[in-house]
Amino acid sequence: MSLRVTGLNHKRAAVELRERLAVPPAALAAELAAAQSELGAGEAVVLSTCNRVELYQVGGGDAAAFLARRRGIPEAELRPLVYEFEGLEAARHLFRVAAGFDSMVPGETQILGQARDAYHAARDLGCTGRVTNKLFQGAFSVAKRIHTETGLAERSVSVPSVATRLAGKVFTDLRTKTALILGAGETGRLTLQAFRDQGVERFLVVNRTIEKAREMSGEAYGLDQLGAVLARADIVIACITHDGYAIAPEQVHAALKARRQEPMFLIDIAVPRNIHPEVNRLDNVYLFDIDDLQVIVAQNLKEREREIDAVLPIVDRAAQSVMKELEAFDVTRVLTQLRDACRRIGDEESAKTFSKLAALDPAAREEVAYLVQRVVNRILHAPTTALKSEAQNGEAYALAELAVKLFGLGEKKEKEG
Amino acid sequence: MILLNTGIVLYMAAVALSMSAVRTGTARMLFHARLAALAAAVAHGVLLVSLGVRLGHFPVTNLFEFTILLAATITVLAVGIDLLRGIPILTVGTAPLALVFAIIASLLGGSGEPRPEKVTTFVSSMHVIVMLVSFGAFALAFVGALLYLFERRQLKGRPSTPVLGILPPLETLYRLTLVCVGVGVALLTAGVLVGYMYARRIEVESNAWRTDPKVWLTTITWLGYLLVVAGSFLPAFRGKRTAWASVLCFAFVILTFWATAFWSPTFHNFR
Repeated sequence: MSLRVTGLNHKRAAVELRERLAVPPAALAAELAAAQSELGAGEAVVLSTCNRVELYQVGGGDAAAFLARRRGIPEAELRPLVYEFEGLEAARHLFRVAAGFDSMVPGETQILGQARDAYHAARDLGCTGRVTNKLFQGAFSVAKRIHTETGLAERSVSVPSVATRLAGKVFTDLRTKTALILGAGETGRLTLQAFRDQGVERFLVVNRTIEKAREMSGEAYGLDQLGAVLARADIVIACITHDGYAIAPEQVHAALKARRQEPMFLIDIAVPRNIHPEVNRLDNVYLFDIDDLQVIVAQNLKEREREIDAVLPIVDRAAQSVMKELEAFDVTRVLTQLRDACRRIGDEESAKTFSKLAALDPAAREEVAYLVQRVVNRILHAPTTALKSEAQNGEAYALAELAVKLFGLGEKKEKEG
Repeated sequence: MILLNTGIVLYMAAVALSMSAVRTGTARMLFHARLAALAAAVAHGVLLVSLGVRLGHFPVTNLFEFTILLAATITVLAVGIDLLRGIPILTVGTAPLALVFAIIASLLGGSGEPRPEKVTTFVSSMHVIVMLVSFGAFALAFVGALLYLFERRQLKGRPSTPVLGILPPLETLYRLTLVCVGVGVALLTAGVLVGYMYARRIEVESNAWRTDPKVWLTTITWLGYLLVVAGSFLPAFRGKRTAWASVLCFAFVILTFWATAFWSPTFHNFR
């Protein structure tokens, strides 16, 4: 078993290079086939997302050179940017990636789905095997447990998700609330979608040009109708380019009066701001501007990083445990092959000797055979102990590989694998 | 004594665990806080049952018993609502209150003297128990209102996300406060009526209850809470004002509950 991962991510390479290395879904089958035929990998999984491109391989040659060749990138340009991990380090890397610890937004869960898709695609194409199956499944199970048992994913780290989370701190049930989006630009669209995802069904879209407001799902109004519709809104998301404040305290005061002081939640994500800050002084009104939201995002990111530091050893231990299981199996097989090979040599050489010394009496034959067996056992003692001891630490991979090479067990092992 | 102290230690554990849960936002810690609070209530419940069995009547005849039962009632109500409605902060908020009540009870101590017959009857016990549950509801309203004011303050400023994470929506806290006040007022009304009829029957000659400070303070408390209920229908009273009024009214509950026990002449003096 020679597990290796070669790849690059958002920390190592700019988006231009990541784009060139990315493997679109349509090209995945060809990429995996090439990894097996050209690279000689026994097992291969390609994980390609917007933030990373990684090739997990068992056996086979230099993946960095393979990737450079296939993408037409000079190897000298690619190699310094690529990371390569082998054995336990490769397993640890996969477990951390699946748990979202290596993501741009630490602790995000999207990568888990992407890793799952990558693994399933490789499995369906027959490119996975004993090692990748066990490793990826182990990584998914640990990642799932981490996300379920810790509050990692609950800490919102984007402005729209923080906005919805805060709205949920004012209102018991967002599904019964009406949201007013002031501005039909991209920010408004994204925030509307975030609230829709949280169950908000009624939207009022107010924009300078009513036609653009109509493009978004919801009741469309012109900016001159803002005062009239404000009272209907439980949630107000302001993100319009406007000279001066678009919403004044008097307007909100009037809206509150019309609403019989039902609470209002206002998010101002425009710069310059759309809502007068004095609005927050009114009772039953909760106003947040972009700075407030970004402070919360930063707090949550810090919290996530703190939690990741706390659970990292658990993830690493899980990776080590999976590797131990894989290697224990591997080491046992290498040891059996090694013992069989040495005994076979002993038996063959004894047989040759006995044929030359036909006059040897049975007792002497037995003594010679026993001598050969003792020599073989003594030769095998040191490598056996070393392999077993390394297997205990989850680090037996290198020694097992060495034993395979030194004693010429490779071919036989590949056939068995 | 062992059960009393065990309960106090468990309440202390519940307070420590719940504070830690608020600080770290850990769900497991909250679970343990609930368990500790419930275990404390059970320990005190067992203490009261054994006392009742020994005395042969409901153990609600003096301030010690009443206070210990109030702590247990608040805890059971809070944990119950927490589990049913998913408001864990209620356990967090009531644990310190229950601890304070339990410590006060331990300082008061049970006299162990035989109680006058008039406070050991079934009707008298019912009067006390109904009043006690109404006080429990007011205590929850007090906690709900305090949490509402705290969360409102957080949302008006730059909130701390771990703290916010554990708080339910403002609307939920507001509704909880109003429901608890409503239930408390209904039970207080029932308790007062039972007490009034009982007092008329046994104290008909002396009419001492008419000048009793506890009776007057209870009436003021009842009126105060009635105003909270009525005010909640007025838009101008909605939110912060209702919450503050609930907090203030609870001060009257405390006054009615304990203070009068020390300066009530004879009637309602159950120390």
